Amino acid sequence: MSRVARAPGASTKRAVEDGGASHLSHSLRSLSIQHQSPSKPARAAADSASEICPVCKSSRYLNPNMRFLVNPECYHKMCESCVDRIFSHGPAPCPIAGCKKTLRKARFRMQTFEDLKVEREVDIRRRVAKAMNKEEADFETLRDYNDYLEEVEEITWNLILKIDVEQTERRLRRWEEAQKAELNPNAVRRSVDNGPDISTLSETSHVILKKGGTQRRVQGASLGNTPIPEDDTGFSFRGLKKRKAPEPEKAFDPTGGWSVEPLYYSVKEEYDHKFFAVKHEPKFYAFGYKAPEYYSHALRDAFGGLGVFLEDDRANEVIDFGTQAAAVAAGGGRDVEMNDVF
Amino acid sequence: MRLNEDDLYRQSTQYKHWSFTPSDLTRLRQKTNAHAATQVKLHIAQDRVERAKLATLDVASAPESGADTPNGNGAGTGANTPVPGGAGDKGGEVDCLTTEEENMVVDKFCETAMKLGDFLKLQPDVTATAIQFMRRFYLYNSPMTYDGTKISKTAFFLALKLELGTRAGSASDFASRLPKTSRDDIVAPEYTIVQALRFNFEVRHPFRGLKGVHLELEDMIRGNYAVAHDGRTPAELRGEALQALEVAEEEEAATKLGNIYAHTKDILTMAAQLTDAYFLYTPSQILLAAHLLASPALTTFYLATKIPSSSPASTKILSTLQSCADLLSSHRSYSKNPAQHKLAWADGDPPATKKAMKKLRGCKDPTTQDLVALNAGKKRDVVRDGTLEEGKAKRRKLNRETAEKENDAFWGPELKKEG
Ligand SMILES: [Zn+2]
Ligand SMILES: [Zn+2]
Repeated sequence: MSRVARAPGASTKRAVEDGGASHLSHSLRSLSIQHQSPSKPARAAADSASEICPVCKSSRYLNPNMRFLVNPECYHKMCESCVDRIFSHGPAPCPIAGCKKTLRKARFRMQTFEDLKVEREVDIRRRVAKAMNKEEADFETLRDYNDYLEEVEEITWNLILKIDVEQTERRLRRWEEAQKAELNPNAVRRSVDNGPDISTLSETSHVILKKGGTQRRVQGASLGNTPIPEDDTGFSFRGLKKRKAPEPEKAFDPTGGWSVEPLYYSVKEEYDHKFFAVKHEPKFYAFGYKAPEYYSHALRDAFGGLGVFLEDDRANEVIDFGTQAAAVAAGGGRDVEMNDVF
Repeated sequence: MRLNEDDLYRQSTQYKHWSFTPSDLTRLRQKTNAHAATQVKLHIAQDRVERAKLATLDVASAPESGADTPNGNGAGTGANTPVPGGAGDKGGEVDCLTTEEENMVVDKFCETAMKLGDFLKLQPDVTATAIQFMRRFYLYNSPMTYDGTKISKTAFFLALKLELGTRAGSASDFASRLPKTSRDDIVAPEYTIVQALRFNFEVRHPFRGLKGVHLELEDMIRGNYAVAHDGRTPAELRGEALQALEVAEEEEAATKLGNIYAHTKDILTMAAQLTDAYFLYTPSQILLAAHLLASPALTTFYLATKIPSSSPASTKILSTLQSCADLLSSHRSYSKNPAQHKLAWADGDPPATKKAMKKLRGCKDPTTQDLVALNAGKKRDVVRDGTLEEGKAKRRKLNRETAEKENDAFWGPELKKEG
């Protein structure tokens, strides 16, 4: 099922541009619209319900500083003091009747949206968007990209509407692993199902209580044994380009590509001579001074400018430095044109 | 993006600012001479007027002579001014040095500097750098304007700092090594010189590459030299090198090479310094020209291993080297064989130089003789000549006062000095 609104024959258009609402489902939109213009009685009723903690029944009326928290495992709301009381000593089951989720204190948080359905959908969308982060440039054609977006939307909706949650969740994780491995081929590819991943938001990823250690081990073993083909990337998209590894950085060249290629000499590593008697004394190495450096300097000094003929060079120059400077000298300061620069 | 050694040399300030064609060099010197002569005539005339005024004042009030000028700058008015206005000054037309005479005087200055370097037992590098600083300085300044003795001391100090870095010691240290010299004498002309040098401190001396040449020559004699452009084998090169040296054995060759080395070095540290070689030729050309003088056969052979004698560059390089060698050998310090007493040639001056030095005494610019006072005066904003200078001084003073006021407003007034 798809919620990507696409006008007929508009396949060349980017799906994300279609009304700009494809990522926000209709339900989300209608909810937010409702929220923006609520009828007065409905609002009053909601307000009164949100003022009392469903666990300890204490009311905000008596305790103005009371804060309500939710846990993304089940989105059941309860007051801060209840969270402290129940979950301070480790993971515990949700106290709301009929909910058997195991919750951790660390994951409780203030809700962002008034409607918890919206809160949950936003969480799911964020989680899917994190895994499915391809861009148009990653695809061969725009058509492929739009198909990809449509599939992403379908995954999202499966999770939101709790259809095939277990399988979708596994494929998503598989996909994430594959992406990571592609980014960094050197990273050791972990087994995907080695225990529940608490960073995921799905209903399946539950925390097992401490006392159920044996159970966890059994479960872990059973999950780990599930045969998963190595090349299974969870999803495959048509037209998705293979990621190209960036070119390895070139070694830094401090001379910026310039080099000296002498015309008249070539420096040897070693000369048999008496001049540079200290050439093999370690105390000179400490300065970074090397005999070949010395040889290269000596020879460069010997031949630097051998083929430079001043008559020719100066004749080619448009500005004659000598006369120009002298002209300035004659017109300028007392003795030298630079005698008094201030 | 490959550079050869000639490209590298073209990046140096020596090539960019201190290399000239002979005609440019002459023109530049003429300009400097003409400019200095006008200044000298103007300043001597001003000096005479002032002196006449003072003389009448002295007669009227105080018997003391050499009183300070009203603006507190004693430069040029007191007894320290040489001949112009003094007893020998007849008040006639000032006879300024010609360009040729200036050249002779500068050469004499440099010879004296060389003796000074010898006296101070300085490394040849330091002496050579100091002499080149002086030669560069006197391209844009006339010896009539600045006295050679004073300039040479500071040039030596600059060269010391350049060649030895932190080991050079302080100006006071250096002054104490010289007779009748104070720290101020060393420091005062420093800025003037550095400006005239355009802050180009690097001097590419030809003798820096001499060891490079001899590294290769020794290699050839040992039969280790492998790079010949024309495919001669190391053994053939060895044979030819020995033949060029007119010896049969390697050991003899080494001794002979040592002599050639010493002779070349002598030429480079004396004749090359005291001629215009540095301005007219590149260090490599000077080096090989000197080597050519020391040993024509060996140098010709050596050059042939570098440049094919058939190539047009070869003839051009050889003719350039020959003209440079002619210039070097034309100097009176040049001798066919390394001399025992190296500076013996400098004991007596040619008559023309003596005449020029004598003439110089009558045409020194009176405003620039006391460099210490001039330097101190510059710092005090005391400038003595011309209304324009006065206006400048006023403006400068005003600027400084405003800056000080602004500073005080921002940082608070200066702290009172202790004691
Ligand atoms: Zn509660
Ligand atoms: Zn619950």
